[in-house]
Amino acid sequence: MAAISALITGGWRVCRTPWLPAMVYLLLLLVTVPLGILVHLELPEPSRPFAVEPGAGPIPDLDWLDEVTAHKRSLLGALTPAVIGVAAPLSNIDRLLEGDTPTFALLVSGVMLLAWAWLWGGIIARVSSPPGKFLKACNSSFIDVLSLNFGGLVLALLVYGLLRLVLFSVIWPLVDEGQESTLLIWRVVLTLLPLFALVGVTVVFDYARIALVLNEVTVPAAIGMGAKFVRAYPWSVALLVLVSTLLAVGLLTAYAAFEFIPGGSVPTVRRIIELGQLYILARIVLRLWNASAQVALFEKLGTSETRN
Amino acid sequence: MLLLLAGGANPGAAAETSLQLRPEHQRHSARVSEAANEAIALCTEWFGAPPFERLTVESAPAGSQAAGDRPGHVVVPMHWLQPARSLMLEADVTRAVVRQWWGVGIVLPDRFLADGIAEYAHTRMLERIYDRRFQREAYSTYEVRFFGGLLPWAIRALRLDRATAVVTLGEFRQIADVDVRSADSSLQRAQAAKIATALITLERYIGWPALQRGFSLAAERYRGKTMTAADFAQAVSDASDRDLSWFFTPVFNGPSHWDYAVESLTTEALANTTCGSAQCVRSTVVVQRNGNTPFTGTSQEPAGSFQSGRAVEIELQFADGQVVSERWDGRSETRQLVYDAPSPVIRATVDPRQVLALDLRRLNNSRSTRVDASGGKLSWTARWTIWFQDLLMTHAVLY
Repeated sequence: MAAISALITGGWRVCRTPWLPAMVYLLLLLVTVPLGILVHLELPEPSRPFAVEPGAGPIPDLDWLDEVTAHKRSLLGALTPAVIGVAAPLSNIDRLLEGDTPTFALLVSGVMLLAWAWLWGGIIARVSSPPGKFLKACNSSFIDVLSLNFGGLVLALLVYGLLRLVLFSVIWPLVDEGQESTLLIWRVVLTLLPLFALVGVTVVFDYARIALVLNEVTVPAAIGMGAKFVRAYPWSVALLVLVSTLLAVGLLTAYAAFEFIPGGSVPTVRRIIELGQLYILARIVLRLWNASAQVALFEKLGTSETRN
Repeated sequence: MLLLLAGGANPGAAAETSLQLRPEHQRHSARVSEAANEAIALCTEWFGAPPFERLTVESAPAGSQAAGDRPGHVVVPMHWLQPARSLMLEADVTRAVVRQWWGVGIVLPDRFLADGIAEYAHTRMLERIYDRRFQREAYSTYEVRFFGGLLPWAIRALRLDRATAVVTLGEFRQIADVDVRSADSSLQRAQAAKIATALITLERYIGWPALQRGFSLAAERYRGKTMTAADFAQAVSDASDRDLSWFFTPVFNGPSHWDYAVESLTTEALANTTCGSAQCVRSTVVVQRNGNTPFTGTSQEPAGSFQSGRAVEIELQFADGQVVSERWDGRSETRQLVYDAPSPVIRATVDPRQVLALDLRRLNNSRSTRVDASGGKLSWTARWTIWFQDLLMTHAVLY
């Protein structure tokens, strides 16, 4: 029940500081909108006006897109039909699992790694009890959180990549001849195994980050405390992960349900932007809610050994 | 294996169909049966009596190499999961059925011709199926596959039309000047796409009834015999009562490609001249042939400076709403059109009705002094940005 209590407390703390998700959202806009503008400038005018049904948006013209993106790499190379609606998050999950990300996206992701490393100190301080000073915590813990995040990222990718490589080069070829239904089950199993390892590493580093900010310890000590905490309270930690995953799935389902105008028409540009941005904002809120719940859980359950 | 007699479901079908589906494909039996019956009925209507009395549709695992065609038996690779709105399953079934006429009933030593006709004909069939199911004119809803191709997702906002499906799914633009006679098996899809796109072009140029008569005549002449690409071209020419060698010769031979463009559109006010009661404006439009093959409309060579043929249409839209349509034989590298009128030309389009489906680049087919306000570009930008924001948020899970 500690996890449920932490979820409620965490949710309340995020509600109490609505400027936190707003700030993260603004940061995301700051990074992505200029690139969006670049894409817009690179796109040529259509040879014929896009067809528009009354009350609906322009019908996506695949012929135009195919010509625009033929032999293109980088920004325009990433403009595929998979950016439409809920296919976008699905393709992103697929890209993450398959390790297939465009180079420019990796570079921008590196910038976001720095930004998040700066933000985490402040976010954890603000959603803790009693709330700390945001900017002070951001600045004071930036280098340590950056080292921790970078170490966690490398370790997580290493564990996931190695496990996946072994499983997909040893076991997958043995089941590749089966029925597609069986193949799917095998693929789920073979993906979940390294994914669990990845989540395990990430969660340990999440709590290590909390320990680092709240207890002001060294990075190695924080990692030790994070690992001890996860080992001491595996069910509560797992429940938080499960609830966060379910909330994310729920959000995706809601996005899929609302992205299309009932009756089969294409949404207007305004609806695409509003729904898309609402979805992104909701993702940020869920991310911060999860972090806040982790902080609450750490505060509630952390013993003197794991806390300091 | 499921054995299902599906004959009689469609009164137009002269032959009986049976399904031999693997257990994991049995969920698709109704769709497979409908597609097979539709294909048989339409092929019978278009190409004549079926070359079999009974057709067996056997399923195979997706991605498996399809076995060679044999009379009355088709093997269709299928996915376990197939969204209802995506007709990729029906596409494979109808393609296989068409090949019973073109490839089995008529022996085609030119593989590209069998592939191309199957690719072309099946798109007409799918349009009917999609229309009946969803009351929309489309080929299929666009399908993307994730998780090693095992999980499909139909993007409902993206419906494909026939030509787009052939050009984009066949990767026609990726290998622009593919030679259909090349024996390189990696070019098979692009070769089929080129022939299918050529047939769509011909359908738009001479009309479906004339092209259908051509198919029918070819089927009648060569049933049970061997037919070359040249024989097919001759049959279509005979049936449509015109010499189509100007079209078929470059399609079937060599790395031909077509591309027409509006090179420039300029307007200037003419001082001291009046057109009616207003000052004259001179509009100059230059149209260019970038491709290595002209789309002329006739095999007759031009006499002197006179054009021969009128296959390429050039449409000019004036600011006062007038629309002028010009014709061009498409042979010379450029053609200049000059108009002195009270209103300037605001939009010039070469091939506005998109008759030449083979035209590789459509973006250069038009020039306008007005910006398109439909928001089409903006909608793609918005979607790309949301996709990218989501990608960064997905990565952020790791840090």
